[in-house]
Amino acid sequence: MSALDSIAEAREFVSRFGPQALADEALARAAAVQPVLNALITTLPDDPVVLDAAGPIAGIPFVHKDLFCTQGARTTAGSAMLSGFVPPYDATVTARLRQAGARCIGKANMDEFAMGSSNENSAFGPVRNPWDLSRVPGGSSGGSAAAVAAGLVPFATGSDTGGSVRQPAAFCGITGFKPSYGRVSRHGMIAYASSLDQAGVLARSIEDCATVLSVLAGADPLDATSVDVPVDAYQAALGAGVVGMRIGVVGSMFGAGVRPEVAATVRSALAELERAGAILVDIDLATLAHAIPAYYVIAPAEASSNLSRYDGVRYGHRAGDVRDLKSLYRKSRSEGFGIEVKRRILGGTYVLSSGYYDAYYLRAQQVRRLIAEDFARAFAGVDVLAGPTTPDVAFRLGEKTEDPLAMYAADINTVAVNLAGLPAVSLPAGLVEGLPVGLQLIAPAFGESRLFAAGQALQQRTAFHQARAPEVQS
Amino acid sequence: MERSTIHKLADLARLELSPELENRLADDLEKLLGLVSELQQVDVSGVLPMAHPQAERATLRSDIVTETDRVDALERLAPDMSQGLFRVPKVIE
Repeated sequence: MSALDSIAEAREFVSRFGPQALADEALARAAAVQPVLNALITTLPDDPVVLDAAGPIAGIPFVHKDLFCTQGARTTAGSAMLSGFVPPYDATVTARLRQAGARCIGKANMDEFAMGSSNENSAFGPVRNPWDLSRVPGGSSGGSAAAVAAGLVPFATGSDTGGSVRQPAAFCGITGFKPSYGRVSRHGMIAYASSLDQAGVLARSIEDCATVLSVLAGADPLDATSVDVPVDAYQAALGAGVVGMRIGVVGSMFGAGVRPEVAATVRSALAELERAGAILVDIDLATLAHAIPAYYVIAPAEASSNLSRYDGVRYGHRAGDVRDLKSLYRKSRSEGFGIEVKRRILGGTYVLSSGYYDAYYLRAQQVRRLIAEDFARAFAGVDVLAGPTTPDVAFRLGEKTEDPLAMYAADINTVAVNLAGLPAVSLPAGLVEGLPVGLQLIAPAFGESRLFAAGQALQQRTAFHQARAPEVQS
Repeated sequence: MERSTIHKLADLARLELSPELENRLADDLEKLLGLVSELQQVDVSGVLPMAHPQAERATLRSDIVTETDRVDALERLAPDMSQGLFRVPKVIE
């Protein structure tokens, strides 16, 4: 273990050598692997840090997904549209991390505006998977996941609209935690689909995710969708164990399209939880089959609305040589947005247009409620739900770029969670042909503590989360 | 997908597409609509649409001024601004 592998190791290092020495270690590590991984869009050697902060993450370096606004440090959302955007304010997530004394060493690469599952949609080039450089790290928080897996920092932030924390965590062999919708403020987190977006944490261990979420969670007057529900004591929850915990094993999540070795790996991790005292119950969620279609109506619809703000007038890219206002809009947006963003804006515009609204958008919202109700019924009988995070291990760069629908289809086990607003975690469950596999656990809204208890029980009995990515050994 | 449909969408979304990109995105959109068409088979009669996972808990904050005038900070972001105003090409001939 190095000082950058866990928050506990990092704190020990900071107490002996001070925060600057650790930040220097992290920056040196980042510089060494950047040519290989491209995990960062911007490196911040001198980011201001609150020196007199006390608490669990004081002096701990981290990597911040490049859609959280950072006052004075450019924030691109992975887009040419915002390649020169320097926010005049901090996101609430940024502010909370700063107040806690954490030290941002860089802004993480990501799929443009968080739209993608491979990090190939970044205007700043793809990120590579530290386990196999010919493969994607997942997305959209691909830079965050690669940075943690490569040992740059003990934790990174991410955002999760349809799996963007959990899927890259699964592909990179680390823990990725997506809180309930409303648990963490979205203020200053550049919007993709506002009713689905939620900030999350990536770290090697569930314990470190709990530490960071304790700092981030809580209502925020600047985000009306953040919810004023008391924040549990996550550290205490880690030790609660799983004796008597009922885990619903979702049959359809192991269904067609899931690679048999991945399914077997996830089942063996669940068997480990059973040995720790959990009770496994087979369960089915019939409406999950509709999650992909519902998501790929709702998310593009919200995206087309959110991204209408990029007009070349107030901030962001502005095209030169235009005739009139309309061509200013059209040229600025066409030059500033990449193809996946255009694809989703057009899809969203279609499903919201007059004549199609009822058939697509309204119906997708009705199906969304059916999915949420299906989850609620399931949670009447079990404490958490379980399945593979992804149907397969990380795919190769370029493998799915020509077929966006194949990329969308692989989100099958993650998107329903966002539609219902639930918390979920991806935990390292083992390797298939040398590549990481993730176990996803899902809890009812604001049931984060159950995920911390179950995750810790697994990580106390297994060492999958400590496995080192072979391509970037220091 | 009709060319006129993709033209209209691009116009509504204020996007300018090259002919090649227009062809490609028309094909992709066609496929996306195929993917989401299975929603039509779901029985949704009497189901209330769900726009938001926490709609029941949404609260309003008090209506007080929290931010002071930040024209200077915003002016630095704007591609073309002067005297506190955004400059754009001529709208009326």
